[in-house]
Amino acid sequence: MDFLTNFGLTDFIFNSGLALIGVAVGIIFGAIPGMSATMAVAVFLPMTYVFKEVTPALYLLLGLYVGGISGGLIPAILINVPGTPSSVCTGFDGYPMARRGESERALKIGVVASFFGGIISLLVLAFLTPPLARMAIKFSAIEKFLIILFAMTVIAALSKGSMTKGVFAGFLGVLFSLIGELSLNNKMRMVPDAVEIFNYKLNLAQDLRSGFQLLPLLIGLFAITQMFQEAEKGMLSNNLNEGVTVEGARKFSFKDFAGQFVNVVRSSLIGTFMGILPGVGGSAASLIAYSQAKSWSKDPDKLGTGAPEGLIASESSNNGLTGGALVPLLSLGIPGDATTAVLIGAFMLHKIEVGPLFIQKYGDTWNQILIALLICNVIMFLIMFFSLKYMSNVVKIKSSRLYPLIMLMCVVGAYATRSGIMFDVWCLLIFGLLGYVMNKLGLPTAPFLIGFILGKDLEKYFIEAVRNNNYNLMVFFERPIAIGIWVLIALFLGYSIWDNFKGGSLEKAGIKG
Amino acid sequence: MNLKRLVSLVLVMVFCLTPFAEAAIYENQRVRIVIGSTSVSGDSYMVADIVNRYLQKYLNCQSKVDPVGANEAFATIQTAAPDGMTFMIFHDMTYLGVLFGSYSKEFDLENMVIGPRVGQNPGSCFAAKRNAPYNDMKEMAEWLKNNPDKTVRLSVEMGSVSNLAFVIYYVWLKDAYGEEVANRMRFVLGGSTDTKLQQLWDNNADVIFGDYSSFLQYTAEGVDEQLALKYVGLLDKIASRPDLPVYGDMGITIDGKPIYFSKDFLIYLPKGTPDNVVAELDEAVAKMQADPDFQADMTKMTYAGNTLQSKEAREFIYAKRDILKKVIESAPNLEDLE
Amino acid sequence: MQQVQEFLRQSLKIRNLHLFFPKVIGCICAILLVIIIIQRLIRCIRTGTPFINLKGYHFFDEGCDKLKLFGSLALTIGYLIALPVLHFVNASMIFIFLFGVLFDYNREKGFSFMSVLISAIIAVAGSWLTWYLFFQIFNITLP
Repeated sequence: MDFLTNFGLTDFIFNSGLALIGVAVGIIFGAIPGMSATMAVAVFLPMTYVFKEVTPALYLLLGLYVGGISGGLIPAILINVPGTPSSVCTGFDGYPMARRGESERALKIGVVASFFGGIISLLVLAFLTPPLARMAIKFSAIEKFLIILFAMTVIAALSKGSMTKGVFAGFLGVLFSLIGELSLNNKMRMVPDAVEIFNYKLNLAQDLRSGFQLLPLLIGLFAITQMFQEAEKGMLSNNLNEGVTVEGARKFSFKDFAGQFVNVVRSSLIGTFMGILPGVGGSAASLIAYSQAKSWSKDPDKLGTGAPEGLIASESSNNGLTGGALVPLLSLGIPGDATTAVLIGAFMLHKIEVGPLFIQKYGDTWNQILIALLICNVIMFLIMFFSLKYMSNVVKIKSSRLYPLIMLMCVVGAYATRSGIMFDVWCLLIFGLLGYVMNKLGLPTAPFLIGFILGKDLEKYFIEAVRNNNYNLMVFFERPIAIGIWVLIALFLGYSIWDNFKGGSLEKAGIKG
Repeated sequence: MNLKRLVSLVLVMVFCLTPFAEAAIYENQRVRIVIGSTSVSGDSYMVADIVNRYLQKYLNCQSKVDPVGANEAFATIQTAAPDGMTFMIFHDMTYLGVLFGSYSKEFDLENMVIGPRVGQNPGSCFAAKRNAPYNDMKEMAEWLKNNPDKTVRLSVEMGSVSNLAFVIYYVWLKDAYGEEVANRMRFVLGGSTDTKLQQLWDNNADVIFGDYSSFLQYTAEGVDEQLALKYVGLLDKIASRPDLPVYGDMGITIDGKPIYFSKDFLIYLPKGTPDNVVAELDEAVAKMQADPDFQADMTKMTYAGNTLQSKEAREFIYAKRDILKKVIESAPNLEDLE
Repeated sequence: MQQVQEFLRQSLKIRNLHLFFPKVIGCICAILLVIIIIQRLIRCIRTGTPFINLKGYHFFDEGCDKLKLFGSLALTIGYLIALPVLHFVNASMIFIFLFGVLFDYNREKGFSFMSVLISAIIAVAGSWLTWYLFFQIFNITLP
């Protein structure tokens, strides 16, 4: 026994056990629409106080983080409801695959891509943290504004054939994100005053002060809208295409990754890089990775119809985020995304200062973080890969049995978004109906969501960039990094418009012929 | 709404009818503690988390801290049943928001029941880059006076404690050094602590406002010159750091009196909460105050475990509000300073 | 360029900082809407169809199951109203059961005992399990 304790093996086993619990619970949080990795970490944060040291707490919380981000792919693929905001793009190709009966294949491709993303970002974290952190602070509001603009270009790629409608929906999403209070001057916009309906005082100014919340909007727009659409169709079948069986569908093999090496590495690095940039949300990572996968693809038309390529891009980038977001946290003291912002709480509870001196001062904790991330990624892979076979059967469940349960989960998730605000649950209905009407009018909902996700940051960085640079718009064209991003935006937009035009004329030719 | 009133009426009646059931209101109950911040790494959460653990011990209840944000926390206190099972722990923003006009009068202190004070955070402060040509805010004023072509940009958030700290300093600067010097002190709109840090590193601000503990690591030896900070003005004394410049010690005054401002964390309950609920909280807080572990936990985070019973807390916070009300009313609005 | 700078300086004053971006985005939306209408107009002129063609237009799908569609809407509203009043477990048991019964209702066969029974089992088990897992174990606040 002495031998074991000397080498810390008992500690290691104990910590790995915590990582296992963390990953498993994280997957549940990620898989439930409306619950996110951030929420999982926040819920468990006060419980970590029972540990006298920070290390076991980190194993648990990093497990929740990795599990939560990965779990999001399950509902995205199986029921077309992204489990977390960063898995929005996963459903674009994952769900069509599931409808073809290839749910198991899609899930496994997603998990393998997630694993690669996690490992690549871990390598970056382990070896490049100090130089990357120095680079990250070179990105000011100007560059961040442009990166968010760049992420918005994915809208153009998504709405091929009806680009104006897609772009319109995107900007409508931006407009919705601005509703409420601007925290810079504490003033409200686009919110009506209190109104009275049937003796009930509806105080929207109160409810909407902090605006619409992303998670209720997301699940309203996807899950509740789908429930209405299925109800309209009578809830007769399951989610599979007609005449398709799960048994007859194509099975997963590692050959699916043949020729995807560049895609995996590129997407993982995009995810890692977006994580490193503080203040650019995690969802931007998978959006940019997806649009890049599309523009570099040999077969861009297939993306969005169930091509593994898109799925791989989305999943490896959102797991790439995990290691990346820890880079600025552990070297500058600035969180890279919402979840790492919660992790700071864990360090503070144990009186560890994360910042410029962290790696020097707490070398041991730093090593433990790297080991923990590695173990969590391996555990995540093992749990998911071998349980997906059973999960993939969800597509066989009849809609009439599935949707009541989805409704239940959505209510729990929406209510938990801000630890118990009833208005967030009403948002489910508001955006469920909005999504339903938008679909009827031929307006796509995915661009709307993307606009909503990015809108607030777009405004924030625009105001900051312009106000801090003497109101001169030319600042957006003066710094070298900014010009680089402009080139990328122009190339990608030009390509999308050309592609859209080409597609449009083909379509017309097809109708005429 | 009517139902809630009915429920509260029934609850009040129950309380009146059971005068002998003393000090057991919270036993084995589920208690929800909302705080006015959504961050789980800020001082609001940290104080509430420590207090929550000791309240659980002394009230023998199951309680939980919900970080819902300021607006949502205020609304919760206005609508929750006044049975003591939902309350808020929050600092001076509770009334500052109303004083600055960013929250409606509906959320005034008069519309809540004020419970005991559970702790203080003296650590609100301004920090500057380490290589700034001044070491505290008094020197900063001198530096501005001696360099008529220079300006200083302070990053603050509108309607918050930083706004208060800014206007107090501005008024003092104007009185002591004249309007011309005061007007060369500009402000930049900040956000969360990490936004402000980036503003500083990006050279979009010269001085930023935040919490002592969140800046501490950047003031240590060995930090990259580009990231390094120094404290230039604390709003109150921190017992363990007598070396740092404090507003009151530098001669910054309100109405001629030196100012020392700590954030006071109080328990706020819905209007109509019966006295025996508050009495039970008072009792638990008194036990907490005497608990050396609680004091150690608070000191470890550079907070102070100075509690006050609800009656004194109420008088204290009303008096504090009256002083600050005068300050805010006489000080210029940030909008007009632009 | 000077004028643009001056314009931005005025529009981005703190007093009306909150209005600038919504106005810009609102304008972009309006322009895009006009483009969409013009595009439709051009297509209509080319193909010779009238701009607004109400004949044969229906908002709802053909063969729309109005009972289930409006039923699910009504149940959702009912559920949300019931949540704060009845609290999570009770409200969920009732409404998840009703959702199940409504969605599994078959027009030709009507109600079957088995179907209703399964709905009840799902509702009761689902609500209690969810409540137990999230409220008791994870300590998440529920309505």
